[in-house]
Amino acid sequence: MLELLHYSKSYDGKLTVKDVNLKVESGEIYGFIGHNGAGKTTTIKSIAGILDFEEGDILIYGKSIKKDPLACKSIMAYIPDNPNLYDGLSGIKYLNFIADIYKVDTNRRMELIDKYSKLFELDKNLGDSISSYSHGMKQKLVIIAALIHEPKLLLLDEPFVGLDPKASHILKQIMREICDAGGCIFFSTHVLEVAEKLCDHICIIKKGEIVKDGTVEEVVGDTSLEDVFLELADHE
Amino acid sequence: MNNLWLLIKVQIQSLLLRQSAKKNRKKALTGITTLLLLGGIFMYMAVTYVTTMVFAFPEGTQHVALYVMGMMTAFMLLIFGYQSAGGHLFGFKDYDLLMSLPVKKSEVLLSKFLSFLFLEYFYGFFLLAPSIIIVGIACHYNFLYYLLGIIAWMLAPVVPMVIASLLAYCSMYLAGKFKYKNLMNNLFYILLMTVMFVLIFYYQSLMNKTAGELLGIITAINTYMPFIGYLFNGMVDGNILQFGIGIFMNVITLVLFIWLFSKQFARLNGQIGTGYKMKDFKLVKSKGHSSFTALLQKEIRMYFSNTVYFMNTAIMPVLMVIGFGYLCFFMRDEIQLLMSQFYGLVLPVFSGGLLLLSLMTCTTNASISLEGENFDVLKSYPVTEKEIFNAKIALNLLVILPCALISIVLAFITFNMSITDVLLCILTVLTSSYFISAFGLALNLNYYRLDWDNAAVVVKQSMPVFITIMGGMVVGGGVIFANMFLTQYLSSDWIVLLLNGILFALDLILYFYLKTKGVKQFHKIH
Repeated sequence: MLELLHYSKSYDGKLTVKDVNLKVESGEIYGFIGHNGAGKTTTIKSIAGILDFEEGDILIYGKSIKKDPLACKSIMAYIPDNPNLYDGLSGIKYLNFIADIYKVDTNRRMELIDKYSKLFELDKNLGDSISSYSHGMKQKLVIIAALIHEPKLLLLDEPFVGLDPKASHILKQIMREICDAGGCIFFSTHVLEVAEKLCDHICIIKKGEIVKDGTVEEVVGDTSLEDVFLELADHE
Repeated sequence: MNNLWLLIKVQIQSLLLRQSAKKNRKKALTGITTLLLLGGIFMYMAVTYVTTMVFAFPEGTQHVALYVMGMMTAFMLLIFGYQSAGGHLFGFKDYDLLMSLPVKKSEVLLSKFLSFLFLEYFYGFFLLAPSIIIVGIACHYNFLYYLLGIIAWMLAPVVPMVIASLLAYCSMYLAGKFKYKNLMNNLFYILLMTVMFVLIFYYQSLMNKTAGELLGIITAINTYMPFIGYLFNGMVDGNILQFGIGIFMNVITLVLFIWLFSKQFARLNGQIGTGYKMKDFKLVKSKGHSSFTALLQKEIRMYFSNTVYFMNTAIMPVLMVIGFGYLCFFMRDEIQLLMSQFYGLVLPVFSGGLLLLSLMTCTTNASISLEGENFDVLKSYPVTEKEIFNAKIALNLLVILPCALISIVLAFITFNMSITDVLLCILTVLTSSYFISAFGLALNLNYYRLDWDNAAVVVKQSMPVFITIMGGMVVGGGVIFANMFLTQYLSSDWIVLLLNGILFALDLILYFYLKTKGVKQFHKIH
């Protein structure tokens, strides 16, 4: 469960995200939508404990990211929009590094690496150097790395960029499985059709403020998410 | 405006304006100041070397200094060019964009090469230009010498840059073929640096050479490095024909390189971009590690996989140990003679040398910057800042300690040191190596850059690197002299204990700094 309580973040004195309150319940896929520069990545990075913030608090399963960052980080995974990895490592070395950091048991990690690398068809490439990977392969590797420690909260920033259709489909299935097992997902996307079909809850952010928030039915109503988004984007 | 000129203009603008376009003016200013300081040091070294040679060489042979400096510059350009050719000529970030434009491949390659050459003029300007002027003044050359000197200065980097590009291509090509690719890269680089050091030692021996021997250097340069030999012959003798041959050699080399390489440019870049691929990978169970060990292993792998980083930090301690070993094994009699006269100096000077070795070996000064755009992901891991800092410091200790311990063993055998002396030396290594590791990290936390295109920018041209290397040389050398001076007032043991007391106090300050302000600064970086 993820909760943002009066969360605000500023850069050089300029408030970029203003007094955001939201709650992601266990079992829920939460879509975070907004135009470029709206504050989506800033919010996700604050939840992940990458950025400090001045006001409010962020609770992950009841624990504050400000007060207990390690406990929060150990139960969540962050997947960035642009996977910049350690090019000097091979895929398997990177996965083992992540498994060590998250203290994943050696048998369990073996099982999960095997499962997810086969699912994402990366099993034959794990011995290759990351520098030889394409953008999509790097994205798959980051996703596998995020899944092998079985996070309760998955934070994804534009996760479908660079993935092939099959990998996108598998990722969507896995996202649903995580939620069915009691976890939750918070992700940003510009692909509105995906958000509309995949999410249980949608939040639209504009210039750092939430302008629409609710279940898909509540937000979309009789129209489409694209219509709602465009109307909000045009409305000053 | 033709395509070539447009391409060259945009390449050079991107090189020059990268710093000034930064949002953070402080960072931009730091970068420019570092470059200027670096240039100032190069110029100081060049002026010192040339002036010394001009005064030491017999009458009528002062112009040999120009040839010696030309040779030095060519080697320096070869080393710097080899380091930076990777990001500039092969596998550059705007490759796809440029190759999709309706321009000839040869124009793309030439624009890249010329902008690359422009960057290398920075080194050439500070190394070769002062040499041309000083030799010109000392030998009372006329206006033609200086006029040809400007052309020679512009042409001199061409052949070293072509050779550097070919070598860089070979190493990058091989990098995609072998698992332990960087081992070859690192060995090759050690070879280049060794040649550089041999040249510096050779320079020391020049002062005692006769006029005939000095003129023999010109013959050797004309034979083995004719591309600069003919240019300098033309300048010195005012011989336009010789100078013309020099111009022809350089221009034809550039034309041939562009002509041959542009035909294969796309294929070569494609080959380079492939990276190492393992055949028949099988997943096997691996041993689990603590998060600190995992972070340290990651640091070690990143260290050895980044040639520029490795060479910039490992070469100095390795060469110092080799040099010290040479003294111990091949100059044993001279050392024994000196020891019989100045035995009290051995421990203070040697411990000062160990301090210098530590100060010259700082890996932490770029370790935050080298995380690059992966830094955000690193911050999302469930590990404490202390573990991250400790892993980075531990890598630095792992680089320093083997070299320092080998030196201590050699000194123990050669200098007949007592066990107390050895323990004091080990203590010096521990306090000084922690000091430089923590100090480099503290500097990099405050002066960092994550948005680099080429690792050489943060490994060679950043403020923390400049402070630790140049400061380390000054402080290390200063401590050796201070220790020698103090032998008049204190016993050797007390001098080393005093040195360690100061280092220990600094270690404590840095430890608490990293624990408090360092952690806060770490959070600010993104």
